[in-house]
Amino acid sequence: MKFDFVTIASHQLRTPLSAMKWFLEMLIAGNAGRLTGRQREFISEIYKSNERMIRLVNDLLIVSKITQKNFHLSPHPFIFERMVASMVKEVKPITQSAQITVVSKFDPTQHTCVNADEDKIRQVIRTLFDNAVRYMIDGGLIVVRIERKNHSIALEIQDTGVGIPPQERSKIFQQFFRGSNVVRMRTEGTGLGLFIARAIMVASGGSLRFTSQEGKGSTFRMSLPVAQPPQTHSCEQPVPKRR
Amino acid sequence: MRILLIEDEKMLVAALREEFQRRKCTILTAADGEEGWRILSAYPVIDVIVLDLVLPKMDGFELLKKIKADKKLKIIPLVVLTNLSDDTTISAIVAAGGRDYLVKADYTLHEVAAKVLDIAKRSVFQKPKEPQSPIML
Repeated sequence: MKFDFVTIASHQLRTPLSAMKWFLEMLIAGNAGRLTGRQREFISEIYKSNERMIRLVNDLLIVSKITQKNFHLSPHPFIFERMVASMVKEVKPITQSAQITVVSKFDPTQHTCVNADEDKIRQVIRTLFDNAVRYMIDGGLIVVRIERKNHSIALEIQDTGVGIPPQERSKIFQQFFRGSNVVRMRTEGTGLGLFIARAIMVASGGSLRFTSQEGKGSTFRMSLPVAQPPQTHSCEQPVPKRR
Repeated sequence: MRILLIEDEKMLVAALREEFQRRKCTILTAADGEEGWRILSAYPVIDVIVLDLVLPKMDGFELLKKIKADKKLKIIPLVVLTNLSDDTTISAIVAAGGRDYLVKADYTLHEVAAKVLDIAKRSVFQKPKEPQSPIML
């Protein structure tokens, strides 16, 4: 097998990061003896930094593929509402600890089949939730809506966060761009999340748009084409891929 | 549960060995593809193979193809455990007959072990009658 430079570089970076992750996990679990509260606190901070580094490497790998126009998706049919419901469940511990209420205004039993790369679409939704949580001060509200039209389905994530200043709205999908209010809040982030998210949506034949009011919040809307027969027949087929 | 771990990174081997041993598994290790193949040829009663891809001597893709071409070995559950996650790699895993893969950096040690053992439950050698081999590397 021959690999390009970026693939090999990301492999070489991820390998020591994996070793650090696993050994830190064993330390935190007490495999090497009981830790004091302070030791646990320090090691947990190192663990978080290591996780951040892994995310950065993963993001840079995707950005490199996008900019080289070598970004491919692996679409398969799946039920959109079910996936969104599982994502809402996934983010619950994070939103609860941040004192944020998530209200789902959609019917999770509806079955809309879309033909897209599920892992990547999940990544987009995770980014939107992450941003909504990150840019909210002292708790708040996230409303999740799904709107089905004839040939498309849209997911809206509305937050009551700090919003985006008007002069920065044209830049938020640029790589490495971070808003001025965001920098003031000293939140973590690389400025790659929305760049990647939009590239995924465009490559999926969909779109990612937003509206925002500074100081009141933002609403991000991603939409995807609905699968057409015969793809819809295999909507429930398992994918023999990543576990 | 007998696990064959084919991985050349000593730190990762040490972490995985500790986690699987904590779960009362017997773990055999090979540091390259050729050694992995030797162990499998001599000791095919393995419950699950955990295979890295970037390996010296014989890489993981070649070993995977050899395993899948072998009547006895191809039925052993196999998990590709790698830090490669690009489309070319995924296509190559599928083309070589691989069904399950995990990206190391994306999972905790606990999750990796749990997923590997879950896959191992498919093993046809679940209740072996033959005695344990003395091979322990």
